[in-house]
Amino acid sequence: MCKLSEIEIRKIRNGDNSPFNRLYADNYDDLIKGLRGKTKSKYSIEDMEDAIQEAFFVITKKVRKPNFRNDNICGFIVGIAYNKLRDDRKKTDRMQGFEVDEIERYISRKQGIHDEDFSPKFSNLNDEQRRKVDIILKALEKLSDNCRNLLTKLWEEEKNLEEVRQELEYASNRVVITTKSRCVKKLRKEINDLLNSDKQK
Amino acid sequence: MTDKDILIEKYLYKELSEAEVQEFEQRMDSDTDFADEVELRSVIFAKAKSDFKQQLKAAHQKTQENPALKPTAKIRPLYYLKRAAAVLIFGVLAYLVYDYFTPSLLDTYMAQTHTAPTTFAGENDDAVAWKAAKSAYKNNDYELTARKIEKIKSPNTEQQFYLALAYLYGENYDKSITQFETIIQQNNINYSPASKWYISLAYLKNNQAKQAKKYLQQIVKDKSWKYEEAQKLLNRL
Repeated sequence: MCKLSEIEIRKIRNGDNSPFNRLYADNYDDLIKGLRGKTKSKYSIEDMEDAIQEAFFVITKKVRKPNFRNDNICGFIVGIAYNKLRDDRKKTDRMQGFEVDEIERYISRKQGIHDEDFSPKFSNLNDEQRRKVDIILKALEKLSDNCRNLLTKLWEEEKNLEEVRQELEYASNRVVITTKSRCVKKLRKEINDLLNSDKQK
Repeated sequence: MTDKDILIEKYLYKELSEAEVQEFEQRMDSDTDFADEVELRSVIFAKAKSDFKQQLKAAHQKTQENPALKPTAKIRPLYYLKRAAAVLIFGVLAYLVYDYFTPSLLDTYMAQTHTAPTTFAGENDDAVAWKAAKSAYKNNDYELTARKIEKIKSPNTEQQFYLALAYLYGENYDKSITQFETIIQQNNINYSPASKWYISLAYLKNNQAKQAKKYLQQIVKDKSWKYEEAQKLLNRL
């Protein structure tokens, strides 16, 4: 069924995305069929899969909001995926910069998620940009647990200051803000150090 | 959340309005801290997205490998009644509008995808490619089906037939026609009649009605597979 249970919604709101795995696997065929129909079979299966996965990612943010409507999720997902495919087609030629989709493609390829047959597209990042992505990821790994936790809550889970304050038991929102800027500074420094040592090599 | 956070979040989710795009670009040019944060968050966001997609893929793959994990549809009360009513209404409507909106028979027949192959082979490279091709065909991924069958060193008639079908459904009509011609020449009792039908569809899709007509007439004359449909198509040509 293309619906999340109340328990699943609660899980997602607590940062556990596993219910989406169930929703995706259960409804994969219908989602592909729906998108194929809407796009009149213009896209490859890999592109459609990627767009649907992208739509699921967008939905994670929506589910976290209190006004999330838990009906016709699959229709909603197909709609988002359709818009993504349409927008991608429009911008393919002009996209050159340090752009999220390109970074993601590079990371996915590097992690071996897409083998040659299934790669949706190659990344357009240049060598310097790729090096930067590698270094940022490395610097994130080196960050202390406290800082990584804080940045994950704020930037990945997109929680507000009050939520972060409560979950990580900070004294006030002000402390969250100052700790965050200290962590970002540390991260920046680590990135710069890694960039410099990489240049010296 | 600060204005800066909202702006960056909207950028990451591609939700910026035109006015916000301008504001965003202006800040990227004038505010180094802002640009730095966008750069960091873009990488973190991309990594999170990549990991998330990987998990979805893994979950789907697991279900594919173990069909028992697939959910079975629940039959609700009135399910059959609703279905029957829908079929009846649809049938009446279809009958009423048939004369006014004659559907494209070709599109109808093209949509009736040939059933997936069922034969098995050993465990060599060809068998692996064939297995992958069958799976791709079942997933309606015709480009991949063709790629996999093309890897088979000496494809048998069935494999050649599905290669031709993959080209046909993948809208590669020229290749499909060549492939079906080869099969027809082999005069294989299992695949030659079906190939004549599908080559007709391929010719029609390729705007080669004259060649299609030749095969359709043969099908009708021999009363072979799909001869009634072939007659209907001939009536429209």
